[in-house]
Amino acid sequence: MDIVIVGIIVAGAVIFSVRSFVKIYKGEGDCSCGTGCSCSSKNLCNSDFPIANKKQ
Amino acid sequence: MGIAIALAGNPNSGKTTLFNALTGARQHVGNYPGVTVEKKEGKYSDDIGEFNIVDLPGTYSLTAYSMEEVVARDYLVNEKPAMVVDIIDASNLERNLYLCVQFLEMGMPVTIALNMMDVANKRGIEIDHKKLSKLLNIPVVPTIARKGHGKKKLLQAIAAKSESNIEPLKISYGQDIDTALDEMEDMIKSSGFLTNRYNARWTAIKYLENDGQVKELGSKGDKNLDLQLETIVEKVTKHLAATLDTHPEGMIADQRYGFINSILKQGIIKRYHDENRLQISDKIDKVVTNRFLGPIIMIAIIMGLYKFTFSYSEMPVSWFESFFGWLSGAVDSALPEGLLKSLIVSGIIDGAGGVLGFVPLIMFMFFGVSLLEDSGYLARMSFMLDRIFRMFGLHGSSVMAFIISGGIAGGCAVPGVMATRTLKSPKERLATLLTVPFMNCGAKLPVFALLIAAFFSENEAQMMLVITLIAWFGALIVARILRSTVIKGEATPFVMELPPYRMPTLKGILIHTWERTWQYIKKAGTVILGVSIIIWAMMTFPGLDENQSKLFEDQRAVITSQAGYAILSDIETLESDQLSAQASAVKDNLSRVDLDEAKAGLKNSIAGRIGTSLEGLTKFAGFDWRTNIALVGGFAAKEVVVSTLGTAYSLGEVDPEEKGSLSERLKSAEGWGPLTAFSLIIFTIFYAPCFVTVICIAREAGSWKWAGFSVVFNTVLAFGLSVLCYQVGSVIM
Repeated sequence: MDIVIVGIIVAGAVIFSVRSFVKIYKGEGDCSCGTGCSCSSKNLCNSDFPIANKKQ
Repeated sequence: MGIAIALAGNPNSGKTTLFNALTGARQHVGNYPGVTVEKKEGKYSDDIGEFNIVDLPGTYSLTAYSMEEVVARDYLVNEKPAMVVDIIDASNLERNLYLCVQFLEMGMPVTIALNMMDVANKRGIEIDHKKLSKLLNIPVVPTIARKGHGKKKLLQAIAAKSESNIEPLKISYGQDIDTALDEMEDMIKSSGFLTNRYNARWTAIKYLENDGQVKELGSKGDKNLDLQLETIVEKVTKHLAATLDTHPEGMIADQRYGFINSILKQGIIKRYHDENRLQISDKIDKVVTNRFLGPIIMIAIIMGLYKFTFSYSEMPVSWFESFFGWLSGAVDSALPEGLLKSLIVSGIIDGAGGVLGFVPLIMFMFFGVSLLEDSGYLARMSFMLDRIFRMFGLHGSSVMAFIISGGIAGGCAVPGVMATRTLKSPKERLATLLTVPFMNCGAKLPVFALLIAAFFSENEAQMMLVITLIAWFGALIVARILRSTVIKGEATPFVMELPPYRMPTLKGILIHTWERTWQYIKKAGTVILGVSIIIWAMMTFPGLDENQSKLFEDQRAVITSQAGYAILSDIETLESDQLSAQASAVKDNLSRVDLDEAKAGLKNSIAGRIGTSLEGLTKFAGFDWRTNIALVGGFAAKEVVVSTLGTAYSLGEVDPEEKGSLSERLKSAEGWGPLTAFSLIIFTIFYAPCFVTVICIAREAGSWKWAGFSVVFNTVLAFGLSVLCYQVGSVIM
């Protein structure tokens, strides 16, 4: 029984973590930088102004 | 469908404060320019009507010089809001009206929110807002956004005026420019060039102002017309240079200010004090930003902040530690031995709970930082550090990105990376976004707090100051190296407006403190908890195989068979201090076997194998395999370093009664000492940014190359510095 419950918890943690990181990667998830920012990573990370698009 | 209104204005005029007051949002407000780089949206509805409100970045003009200006202008042109609310700092009316005039020239419907009226009044400035409204032919509403004063009247004015048609304002720019403008306007109108976006005269003005975005649209669209417009601009430019020794851009700005002055001179402003007297802010700045006194005061303030944080948080941190210790013990006694108990105790309580244990410290630190931020002192730090930053190839605006990232402690590199958008030079921006992750963000704070509590408890604040200085100094050296090698380029000038000092409100500070602390708690309860559980599983499985377990079983069997039944019965029933010397020795031997088995199981786990495989290299920096696992996990989020160490040392424990806090366990653990701790602190400061920051660097830099560079370069640098510290320290100590 122990192993089943632990298995479910660990699988849940894996799914949750992978989903969080994929969302962050896609710029869709909540900002998980923790402190200092209160906006979504979509706003934070999808820069309209990537440096590569500008003249160096 | 609500009335779409856009909040615009100069940086630090109180846009975000008004946005929060109107929408009930809690967007971050800072007493320094450049808080809002991207636009934010919210809603407001009551009996006056329903409003969709957008908070635009602060700008001084609508010419596409900077990203904020492009964001603001593009929104106004593409979304065509029913009303632009220009938030104007009443104590700086002339300069703030410059942007307002440009909105009017663009033909936008504008309502002025004459903000910070309390500050203006304190400075002895009285503004006749009714007259100003009459002269500009737009609504002007006095407000104090900080206190929510005037917001109803503002919305009533917007609702009443939002439907009316607006004729673009026409300003005379002098005969030479006016003639050219008329000619250009006719050409633009007849060809229909960009007339779906801008009015023809405004497009012509932008050509004369050398606006990059409009000119690019022109060169890509109607090439023939673009050439003709450029020819006219060139002709006017040459003529103005020859006759007035100026250029169209300068002339246009002069004439706009002339227009504003002509309005203000009609009795709009009354001053009750001598205009030249030093304002309180100026008087404070004479001392606080003094070339010699300023840096001393700055160090003293930061040191004071750390003293305050460590002194006042000590007791609540110990309460949290006691609580988690009690919880751990309670679960340990309530649950039967097995995987589930190990997961809850070692993975969740000792892992994620270890991170939560630092909540009081984080809270006190954020309280102090919020106080400095709201008062306006952070902007003074930027001003003073500009000189130093320029020596290292960075820009004055870089300072704010550093502070947001955790320059004092407790920030976050993600908004720090984003704050680099205020830098106009791409090279200075790149150098800044590659070095801001060295700052002591809120996620690194529990790592430092843990190690300081364990090994430098006598000088906590001093140690924190040393860590801060190392981070800043390291970041500046790296910036200098980057700017002299891979990101070579000229430095650009920096002009920063110092906002006046403001008396922070307790409510404001408490809201800021809670927002940030809540982010920390939320992260510990979600991402950190998830990663802690995964790391626990990686530290638990596959465990020992039957043969390995049998070896330990055999050792136990030998000890118990030699001890005899009476001694074993005593060990089972009596307390440790009641045991005979012989029974104590047997108990110790059995505990040693249990400990060896736990350690062997941990070392044989997936994480243990990863940690051990790195040990050959990391031993030069003083890190054992458990620290290696923590550091690898730290790439997901730096707090994971603490939670992983918590789990690793919890799994290695045998007797729950002997458990102490993690800092106590590290203190007594083999291989740990001040030197190892310092080496780990150095590594934590400099090694690869967390996953989210790396993604943001890639997005902001527009290339994964720089994100990859950041991971590899930072980790190599961190390892090199840690090895240097550890090896040199080992020789000296």
